[in-house]
Amino acid sequence: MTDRRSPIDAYLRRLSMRLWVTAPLKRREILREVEDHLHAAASDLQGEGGDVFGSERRAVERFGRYPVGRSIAIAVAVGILALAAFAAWTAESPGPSQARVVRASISWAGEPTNSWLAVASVHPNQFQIPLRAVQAELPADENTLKSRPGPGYCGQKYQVVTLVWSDGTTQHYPLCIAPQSILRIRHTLVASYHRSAAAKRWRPVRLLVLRDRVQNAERIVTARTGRPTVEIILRPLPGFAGLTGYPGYPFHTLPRAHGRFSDPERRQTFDG
Amino acid sequence: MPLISGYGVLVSGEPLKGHLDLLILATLRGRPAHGYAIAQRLAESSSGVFDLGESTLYPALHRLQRRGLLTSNWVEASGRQRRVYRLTPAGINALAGQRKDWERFQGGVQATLEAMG
Repeated sequence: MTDRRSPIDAYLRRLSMRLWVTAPLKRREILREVEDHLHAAASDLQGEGGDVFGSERRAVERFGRYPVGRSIAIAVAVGILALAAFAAWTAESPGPSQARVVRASISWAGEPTNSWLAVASVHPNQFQIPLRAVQAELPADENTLKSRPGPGYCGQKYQVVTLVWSDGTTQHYPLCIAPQSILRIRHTLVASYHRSAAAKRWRPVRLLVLRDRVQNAERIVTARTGRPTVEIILRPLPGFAGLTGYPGYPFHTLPRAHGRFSDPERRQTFDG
Repeated sequence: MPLISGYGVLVSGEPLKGHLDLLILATLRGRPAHGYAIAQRLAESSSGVFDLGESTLYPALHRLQRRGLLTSNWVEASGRQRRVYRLTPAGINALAGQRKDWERFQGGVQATLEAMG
């Protein structure tokens, strides 16, 4: 069965689709102008004795393919590539593709009073890292600043960084930082943290701190600012996955053995 | 590339596109017209030598309008909206300049061909 729909209408529909990235007003103008052209041509051809359908088809053939601008073609190509890249990325990431930190805190065990972290904290055992500020500054008192801990010393044992994510998940990162070292935490680095698509695990959290006594640091790098700053990278440990944050934090359940975190990944660095 | 037809040589493609602006400006001199009429005039005035894909006319018209050489307005015709183009003063000047350039070029080619026998 032959398709007897108007060739001009069919052409305009196709053209409208090809012009989808064109600004709406411009697209309407082009379509209106082309429609007028095709109908005028078809009318002339009918005047020469052609039938309606044949005249419209001939007018469309004579008109040819409307040249879509190069910029539009580039925009289409870029859009298609972006969609393809997004599709490929999401295919490799079954979990939540993007999450943001909605709450970050550092919890610690030990004596609440005289705790250097407590100086900066409203809560005796927890410091809330403000997410809105550019950076959080944790002041250390005079005594802790004077102390020079040795390689095996961890001033505040069982410190845990807890991150609560927008998708409801919570991650705990064991931490052992010498008292005077954690003066600044750049939360922006924490907040820009994403899921690792390939490994389906959280990517390392980076905290920027001052001084160099960070015993369980994954990596210590030279500061970019020229100040005595180091960057520590923490990885979530499976043993912490079931824990909830303070209050009621069961510190005695933290996976440790003889002063070490039990995870093999942590032993060498924690040992100092 | 020229196409050979039963009616003679048809000029199409890049050679024609290179002179399309001049041809459009010349077609509109003193006579505003819509796209289809411009295509008709080009075909008639060239005695069918120019094999212009009619759709290629519109990007050229829009480009000339962006350059300020043409202006357009919408009118009602046969129950449809029709866009009518006309030359601006800048378009008239451009036409004069491009025409001189073309005549100089044409004269140079002609002189060369004659010199070569």
